[in-house]
Amino acid sequence: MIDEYNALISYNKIYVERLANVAIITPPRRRSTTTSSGPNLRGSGVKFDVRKDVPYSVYPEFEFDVPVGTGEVGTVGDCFDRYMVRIAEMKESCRILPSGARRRARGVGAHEGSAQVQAAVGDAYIRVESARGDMGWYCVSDGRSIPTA
Amino acid sequence: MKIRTGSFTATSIIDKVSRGLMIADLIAVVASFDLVAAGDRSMKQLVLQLTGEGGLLAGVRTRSPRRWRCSSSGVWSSCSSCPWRG
Repeated sequence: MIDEYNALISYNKIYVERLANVAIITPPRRRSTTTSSGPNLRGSGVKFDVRKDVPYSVYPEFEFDVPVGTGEVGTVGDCFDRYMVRIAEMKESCRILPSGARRRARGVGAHEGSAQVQAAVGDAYIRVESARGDMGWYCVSDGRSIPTA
Repeated sequence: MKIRTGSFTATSIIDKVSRGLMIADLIAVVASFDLVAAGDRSMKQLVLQLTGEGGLLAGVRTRSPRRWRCSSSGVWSSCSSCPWRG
């Protein structure tokens, strides 16, 4: 279905001309100097994905690639690249889903017990690859099970 | 807990990368960043940035830039309890 969508929309002449060479974000010299992340960063050709570079949860068990912008019809980092990165990520998600479903069918990862979590006193930080990029969570626990902002 | 989503950084760069573009291109630019206005504040920031002095849409009159609907209370304009006001 994604290929059909590409054939119909993505490589349409009007669509390409609207997106190619528009709002180019050049890749940073060093990744640490940019505040951009996620598909916006990868659209600029930087291969960084928290799921690959700082693996967490079950992602090391899944096989998927990290698509980056290539300047396919314009310049690396233009609107078209950011768009195509997201299209390519949909394909990668389709690769991950069957593995996740098989894993789930084996009963791995099935939730057991109460949904209420009582965290130990202390703090923790974790970062995840969200739909819009690198998202960090810093939580401090006072030992109670009721979260407060 | 305080959270700042990636949309904040994406919002802040729009003014810079959209220089010299047509207004129609702006739609493509905003869409390509996949912005989500997490609160009234970020959307207000975006509009004020674009319509302010030196912005891409400088001089364009907005309907009422100071009137915003609070996402938490649903109240228009001033909402003293809204955490997104500013």
